[in-house]
Amino acid sequence: MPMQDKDLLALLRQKDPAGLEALLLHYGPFLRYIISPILPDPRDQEECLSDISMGVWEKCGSFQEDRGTLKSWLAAVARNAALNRARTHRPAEELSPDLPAPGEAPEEQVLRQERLDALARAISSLTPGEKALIYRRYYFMQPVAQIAGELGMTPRAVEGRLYRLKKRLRKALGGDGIDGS
Amino acid sequence: MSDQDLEELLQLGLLPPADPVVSEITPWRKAVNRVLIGLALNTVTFHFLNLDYILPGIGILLMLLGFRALRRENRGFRLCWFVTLFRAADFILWVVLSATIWRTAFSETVPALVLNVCNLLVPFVLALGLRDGLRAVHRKAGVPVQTKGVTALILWYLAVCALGLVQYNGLILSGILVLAFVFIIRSLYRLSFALDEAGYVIQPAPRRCSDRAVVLALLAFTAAGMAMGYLFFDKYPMHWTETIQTERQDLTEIRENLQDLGFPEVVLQDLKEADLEACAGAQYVYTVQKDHPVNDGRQATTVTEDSTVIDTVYDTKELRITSAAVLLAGEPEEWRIFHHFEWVEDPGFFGTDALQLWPADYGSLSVGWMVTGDYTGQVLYDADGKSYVSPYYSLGSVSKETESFLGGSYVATDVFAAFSFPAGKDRCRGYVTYPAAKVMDGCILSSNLNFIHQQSRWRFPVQSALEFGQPGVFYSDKNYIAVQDDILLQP
Repeated sequence: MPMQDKDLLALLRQKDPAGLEALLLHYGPFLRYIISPILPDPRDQEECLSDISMGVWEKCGSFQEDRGTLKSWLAAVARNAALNRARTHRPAEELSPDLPAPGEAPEEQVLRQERLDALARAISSLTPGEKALIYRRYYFMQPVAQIAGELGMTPRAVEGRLYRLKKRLRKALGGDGIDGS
Repeated sequence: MSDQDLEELLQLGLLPPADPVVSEITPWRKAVNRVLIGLALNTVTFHFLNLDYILPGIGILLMLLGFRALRRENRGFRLCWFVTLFRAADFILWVVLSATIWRTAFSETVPALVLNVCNLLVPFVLALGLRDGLRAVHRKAGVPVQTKGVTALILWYLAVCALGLVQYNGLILSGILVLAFVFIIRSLYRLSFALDEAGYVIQPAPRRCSDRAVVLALLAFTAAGMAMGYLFFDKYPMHWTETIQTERQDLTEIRENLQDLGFPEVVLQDLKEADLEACAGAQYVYTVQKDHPVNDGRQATTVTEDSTVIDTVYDTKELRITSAAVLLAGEPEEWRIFHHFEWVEDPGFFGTDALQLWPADYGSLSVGWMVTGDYTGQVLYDADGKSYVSPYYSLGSVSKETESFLGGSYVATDVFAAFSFPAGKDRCRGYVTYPAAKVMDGCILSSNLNFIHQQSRWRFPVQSALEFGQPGVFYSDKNYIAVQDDILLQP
């Protein structure tokens, strides 16, 4: 029987190395699935998996069960770790969407936060399938061909659906006339 | 906001996904769920409301889509994909055949036998392929192999086949098997959840056309096949030829003699020469004629002081049946029985029709008579001032396994004639005749004709009137109406 999440977490919180082993056994395929679209190189994937293991090892204490499942938390951790590793190949700052960009004026920060709030509202109005499609493409950075394969659609149909969804989101965010800056 | 701005905003501004979104993003859950639901729908059959076609049809479609996604993952899933393709093709073939009158005829051919044998093997091959496929996925993901549910499914199929071979009809083992199947499907479904993590190693095969397009194409193909079946394969092929009148002196004399004895003129004109010859020297003719409704009629209510009477009134009686018994010359006493029918009004639809004959020696009460020759006859119609004639599509004894009212079944045999008329012709008619000799004095000569008419083509699966008719039984339903007529005399 696969290990339950709470047992896995208990091992990780006790800093038991068996917890890491169990994590990779149970969630290894999932973590690879999340990071592979962002890091196509298998060596990068292996290094990223190590980063994720270390991150989970260090930050598992901050995981709160009442805010979501371990799997969802791992998905976010893996995605951010993969993006950060992808960025190490080009000069850029680490991903930190919750923090304002350095050098932003206070009014820009307010505008930015308003846009993020509006985006969250617009996303929450989507159906589960639509949300999953947006997250696949823009959060987990999955290629259109992969999404098409997994959803039983043609790449063209996926692109068409994304186009219509983006049109709706643009409208919800204030239409084409709003400046994106 | 430009498209690029929005994409940047989405990439940077999307909050970490909630649990339902994460659980939606999986490469194989959809495919495996389709396979499992398909397996379940394909295994259990309900014989009402056409669920024996609808549920397996949906099941095959789901399995086809499921294995289509998984087919490139490993050899096991690829085998399942090919088996499901075969199953889909076979299913469509039978659905299309079921929209024609030829399903039963095809089911008795060698190709149908081969298909049936292959279909017996399909569940085993499918389960074995599924087990190998799941094992390969486990190995690829580096997680322990768990395929007990599929192994149980294989054993379950074996048990079903074993019971089928011994023709088990009991409820106890059947009930146990149904329960076992529910547990197996539950176990497989739980297995799919347990395998969730291993499934992330799967890479679904790319598609040139979407699943929706595949479903629509298959449905359209099946619907087109069914439409063709309903419209063009709904009648028997008859060999219509123009009637040729011969002026043989001996036949003219026989005809005149029969006319003098009261044989109906309208029947006389339709007889084959051989049947006419058989009446040479006829001594006596007895005839009865009755018009029968082949419609539902209308309700007529008569109210009197004491009561209200509701009657079914038939304003139109479409079918005229004329029966005649001809006493032939010579000893021992022999009669020739004729049952002649004619559509005097258009019944609305001509698909297949059948005559079911209960002749003079039919049943245990008719011991005084014996049929001494072949059953013969033909069908005719008029068009453009000419008459056309054809032999019956089939005429002879038909044996069928018939359900007994007391439970169980028995094999019964009746004489049936099957035929079809083209649409829009005049005076569609025909007759059947046979000789009967007296073997015991004091017995009534009784001969019954049941005319079975197909009223509509829109029935699934399509049944010809001949298939609808059951030996020893006379009944109608909303698609087939049966009319009974008889001739009865005490010689």
